[in-house]
Amino acid sequence: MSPLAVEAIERLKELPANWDSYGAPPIDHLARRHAAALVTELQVMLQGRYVDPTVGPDVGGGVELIWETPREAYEVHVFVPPMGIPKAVVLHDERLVDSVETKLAADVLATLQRFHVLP
Amino acid sequence: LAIAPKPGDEIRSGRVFRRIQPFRTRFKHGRPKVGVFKPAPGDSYNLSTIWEELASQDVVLAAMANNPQLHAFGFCALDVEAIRAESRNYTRFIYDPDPADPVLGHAHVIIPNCDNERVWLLLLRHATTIKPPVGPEITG
Repeated sequence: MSPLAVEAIERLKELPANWDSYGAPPIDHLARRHAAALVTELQVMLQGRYVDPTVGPDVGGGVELIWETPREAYEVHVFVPPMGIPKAVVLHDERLVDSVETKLAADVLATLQRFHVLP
Repeated sequence: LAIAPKPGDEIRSGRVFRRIQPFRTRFKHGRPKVGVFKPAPGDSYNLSTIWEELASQDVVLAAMANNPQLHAFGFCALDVEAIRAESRNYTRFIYDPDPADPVLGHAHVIIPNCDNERVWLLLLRHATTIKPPVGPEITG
């Protein structure tokens, strides 16, 4: 069964251009696909320990995923720059921990594990 | 103002305002999130703001109230001097009136070079919420 986050990511395609009031484009289908692959792989890896992230749009046409506990927050911003290689920016408690170019969700998962976001 | 700024002039003091989109990924625990400070790709990494010296927060609030598309949006203030100081004047505020916005365009200020996470986080550190966003995406 797909995580609820995947449904939320899918719904982002309904956002029109200028959803942010500053001229943001609609959410890129490639960014949605990579973000959905990421949370799906997370669910497979973590199984019962998986928690859905909060999902939102990224101004670059990407997807923002936020996992938050009372003590800390991790943010993953998945977007596709003009050169076409998907990129993920990982923040911990509003501090940058990594910025990775990625073709596979597995690359992002490796970053999350490296910084102990995942067990 | 003793002397009105000219387009291209650098703004060195006061506060600028930036809207906060009504999504939980953009506002949590009373504060904006980092995504609020990322410019749209079409803006060439210039972040759009409104300078308080030329449009007070009451004027901005009224402008948002009069625009149905912005009813759920919030906005925050950025401290110009504190940001310039922390960035050692690398992050600048440039007066850039926008004729396309008849209500607030005369107060439009851009922050150039907002092209990386470090700048977005710098702005976040100096942001104060003036009006929180509202709606099901925030409270649901």
